[in-house]
Amino acid sequence: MRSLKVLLAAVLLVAVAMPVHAKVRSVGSGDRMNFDPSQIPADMKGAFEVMKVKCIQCHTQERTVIAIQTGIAPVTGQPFDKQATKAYGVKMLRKPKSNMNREEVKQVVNLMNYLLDEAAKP
Amino acid sequence: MCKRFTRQLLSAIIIGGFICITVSKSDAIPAFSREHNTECATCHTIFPALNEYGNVFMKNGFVWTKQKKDDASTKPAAKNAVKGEGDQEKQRNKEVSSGTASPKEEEPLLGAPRKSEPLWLAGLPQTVPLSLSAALNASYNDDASYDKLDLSTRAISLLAGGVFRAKLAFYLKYNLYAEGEFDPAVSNTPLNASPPNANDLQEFYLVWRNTFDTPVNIKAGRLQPALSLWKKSDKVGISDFVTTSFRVGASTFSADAAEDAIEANAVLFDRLFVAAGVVDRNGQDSNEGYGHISLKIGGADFKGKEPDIDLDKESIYDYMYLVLGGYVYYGRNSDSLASNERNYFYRTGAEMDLVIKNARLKVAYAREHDNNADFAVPHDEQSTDALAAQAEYMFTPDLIAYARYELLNPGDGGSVQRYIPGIAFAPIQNTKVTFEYQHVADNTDSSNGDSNLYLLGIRVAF
Repeated sequence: MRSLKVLLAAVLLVAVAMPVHAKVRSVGSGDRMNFDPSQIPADMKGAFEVMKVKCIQCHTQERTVIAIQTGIAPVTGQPFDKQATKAYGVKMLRKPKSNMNREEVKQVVNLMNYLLDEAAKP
Repeated sequence: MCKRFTRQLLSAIIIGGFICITVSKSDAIPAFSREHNTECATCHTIFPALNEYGNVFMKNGFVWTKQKKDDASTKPAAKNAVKGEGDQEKQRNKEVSSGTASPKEEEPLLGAPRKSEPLWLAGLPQTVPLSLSAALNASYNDDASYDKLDLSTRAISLLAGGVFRAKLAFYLKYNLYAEGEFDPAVSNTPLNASPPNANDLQEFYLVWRNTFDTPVNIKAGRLQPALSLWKKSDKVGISDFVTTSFRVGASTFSADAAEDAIEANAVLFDRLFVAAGVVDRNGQDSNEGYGHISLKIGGADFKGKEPDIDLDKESIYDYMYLVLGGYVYYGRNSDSLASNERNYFYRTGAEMDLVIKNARLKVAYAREHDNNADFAVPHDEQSTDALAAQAEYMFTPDLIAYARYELLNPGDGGSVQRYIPGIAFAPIQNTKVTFEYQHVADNTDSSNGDSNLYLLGIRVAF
């Protein structure tokens, strides 16, 4: 019985950690969903930390993950491409009390563009 | 004096803490939040006040606008070709999802998360587009001869709004229950119609979006004509701007009341919004008409497209935008269908909305000329001027303070000035607590004078 529980837990763990997309992996689900940190290049770790802290002030990271993985912005249903990442970056920069400065916005936009490129790889 | 003021203030706050008053109108639609699975803050600062994206959503007939794909360098590096046969519409959506085709204007992608294909094909909203808004208010009028404290005004409204296949939008506000004495100073403005049912259906209109594939939207039904930059509900505080809520003599017209109307509006050149309409009123000998024009400088345009900002260069202009607007309304009314005494009037207005980072300045001016506002013989022509200026500051996303100055000059002598500071707090995005103080200096009549009014309002939408 104990073995069965361990097996079940292992299966659930794998299922939770299973990437939705082959190229951009995510961990967790629902409100706790996030990009798999292991796929973030070393020079973008800083941007990833900014994203993890700043973006979730207003919305969950799930929204960003789904947008990158599907190429569609979950709220608007419109394509989420590099033009969109820049637009969202500008939107966050201009948003009152978004608490993001220019440099942080630039870093996060670059990170999202990198992830979009990864997602587009065949 | 100071002690007295403090005592009054405390009384108002304490009493208002558990009850409330004045019916302030709302257009905040939680149904949109459910439909698009997004938070209130997407479209509102503190509801029901709209932010610039909420304004875009409303202007565009409750559909998210699609951004133009005009920059080839930003397109995905690779695209997957979509092959196969079958339903052409589904096939096209797959192509759009994969990036091999551009989506048609305003149409959501079938591949978008949380969208039901059968519902979309049937033209139905993804969720039942209904919601409720409830307001409880309390007021304390130090100068009233009786009923200084009024806890008896409240309202519950049924709200509905949505769009069928991105073609036909609808909006409805039905007042399920409303109680409270009319007082324009505290926002319980009646409609341009007669009782008993005038106030039940506040708004119900349909919008034929992008009529015949043009930028023109045709709006018809009971609606608030597009005159002011800010719809009646589009406010942080409790009371309405005097420039839109004032009435003259016995005339029932006010610029923020709903009318039976047909309106054509359009966003032109991305930053110009124009609207024109005709209004049908009982007892008219011909229809009334109105027009509006507004221009947005800076910020996201009227289609929601962000400005092209250089992220490497800091500029204060990146954080500001200015909207300039003007309108004219020409109409006529009377006090009864049997009366031959008509009032021919026109209202003109000019407005400005300036936003710089967390600060906002609204300035509005309106002038109305009536040739017989009291429907009397002989006619008594008069012109009325109104001015309002409001400064707002967002301390946090859930806390906005504001201060407003208003001047009403009825034209037949004297004037009314109002000084209105207030603070609005939204502990949860769908719950708002507002405290507003009004100091009124009225010298239109020797029997009038200064008065003070304290308002506390709590409203929820769900």
